[in-house]
Amino acid sequence: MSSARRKPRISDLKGTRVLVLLPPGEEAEGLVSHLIRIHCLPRLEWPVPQRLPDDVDVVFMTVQTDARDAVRGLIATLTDLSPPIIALTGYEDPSTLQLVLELGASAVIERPVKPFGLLTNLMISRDVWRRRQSDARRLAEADRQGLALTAVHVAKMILCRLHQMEMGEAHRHLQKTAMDNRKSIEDVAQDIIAQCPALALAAGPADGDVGPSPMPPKT
Amino acid sequence: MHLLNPTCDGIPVGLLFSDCSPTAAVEATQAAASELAISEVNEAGGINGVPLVLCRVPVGGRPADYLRAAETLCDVHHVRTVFGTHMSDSRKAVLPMIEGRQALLFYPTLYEGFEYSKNCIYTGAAPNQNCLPIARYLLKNHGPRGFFIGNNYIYAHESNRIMRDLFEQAGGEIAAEAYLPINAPDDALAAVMARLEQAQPDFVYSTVVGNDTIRLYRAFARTRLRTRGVPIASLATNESDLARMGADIAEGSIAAAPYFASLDTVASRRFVAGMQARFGPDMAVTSGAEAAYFQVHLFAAAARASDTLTIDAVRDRLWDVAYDAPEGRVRLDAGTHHSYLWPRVARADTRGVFQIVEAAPEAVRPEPYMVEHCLEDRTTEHV
Repeated sequence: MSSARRKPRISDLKGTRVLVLLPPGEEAEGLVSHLIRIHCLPRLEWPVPQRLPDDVDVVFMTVQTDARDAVRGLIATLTDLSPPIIALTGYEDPSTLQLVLELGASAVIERPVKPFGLLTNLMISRDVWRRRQSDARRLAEADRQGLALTAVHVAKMILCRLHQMEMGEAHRHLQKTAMDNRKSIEDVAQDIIAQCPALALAAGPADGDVGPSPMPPKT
Repeated sequence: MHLLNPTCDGIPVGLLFSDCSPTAAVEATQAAASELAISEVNEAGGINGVPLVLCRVPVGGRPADYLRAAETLCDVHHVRTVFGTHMSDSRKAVLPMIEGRQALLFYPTLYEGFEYSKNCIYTGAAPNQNCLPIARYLLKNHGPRGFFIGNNYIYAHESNRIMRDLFEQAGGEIAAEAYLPINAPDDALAAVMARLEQAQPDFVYSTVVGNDTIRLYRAFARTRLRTRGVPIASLATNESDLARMGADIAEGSIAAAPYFASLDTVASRRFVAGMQARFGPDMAVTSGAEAAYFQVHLFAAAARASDTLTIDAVRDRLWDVAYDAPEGRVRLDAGTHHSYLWPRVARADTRGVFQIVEAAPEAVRPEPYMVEHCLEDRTTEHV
């Protein structure tokens, strides 16, 4: 887990799989051929599918009026792992804007699409998405660590109660059990909590100075 | 349906070259070569009997002046085919207008790439056609340590980015990048020379263009580096610059371009002779002029092959035609609107003439969107 950000490189663009959701026609063709020109791998699809396929890195998508229902349907299926979406808009009215925001679009390009500006928006979307993914990973890791600390703390409280240990002693006990069983301290703590759920409930919230939840973490 | 607007006199075509821009000297060679090609096309019967009518309007030195001149050409003279512009800022200034009028701009100058317009045909070298050969040549013959000097504008920054990538990939090192304003004051130039002497590079790579080139090469000629044989290399320095700086200053400098006037082929000798017969023995013949020349012939060939004299019909035919240009047979790439060209590297001899030292064995496909560069050897022939 490193907070240092990798420097984005223009060469990352090569081979980017791009899904283009636009009605077939001159504009769609122009967009697809420009994507090929800048070394991406575009794929044109219409109408807007019910969910996004897994094998794409970026999506270009129109939010034109007659496709709104399909776009809304798609929005319902989006998750944090969905690829970045670049919205193609012809109008800047509030209802279009609303849809763009709900899509979580990472860039917006004005229609009819021209070659100039595509490369920039594509690179920015990919970069923003990568940063979002890395932030999500860091958050998940921080959550996991917080929960593990809580579990260790609760387990120590249980040990203190059960065996009249001091906190220091309880800590050393946890460490030794972990070493003897080649397990992590968190796992040993989890085992202890699982054996004494009632004590865990009593121990947790009252002394909850290390975390809000005494529940065993999911790993 | 956008017509080429033939009148009772013929098809109007416009030139967009300035005689007072920072790059006026090379633009004069491009304007001359365009004129030569237009008269050759007309001598050969024009476009199936319809001659091309050359329109020229005065073009000032700034990008906005090119735009004004282009508007006059399109709106007053009804031109739909324009040959010209030189520095990227002038091309960028006119392109939106050209697109709006559904006209065609033929751009005969090397530039930094990363551009595509349906209404622009690019006949100068894309970065893969000149950066790669010059980088390979410098690494092999002079060493891995470079010093970059450029004018502070788009071409210099992008060209330097590519060159830096190439050199670093090959284990080389760029000692410094120095940027000078256009028409840089003498003390700024002197300061860069002092940094240069201190950095002791194996070569200098210049992206300085136009009049400043002469002053840069003069200043460099006075350094100890030059006496040690460190060369100055550039993609933009051409025969017109060498003629203006003189042989003693020019000697040893290196350039890469698809064409050099010393190229000894029938087509090349004929082109040089045609230029000098028409414009006098002092007319410099440059790579930009050669592109300006062959792009008129490519346009004419496409127009002759079109059923109708419309922009769309001519553009569709452009991808099918080829022309035996002074540099070799050239054609256009439909996907990128750029040209298949013949990369060459040259070194200025004691007479201040670029002599070709390396040449590609065949025309190289243009890659204007070169997102990944590789120095890997594509076979070059040593001359």
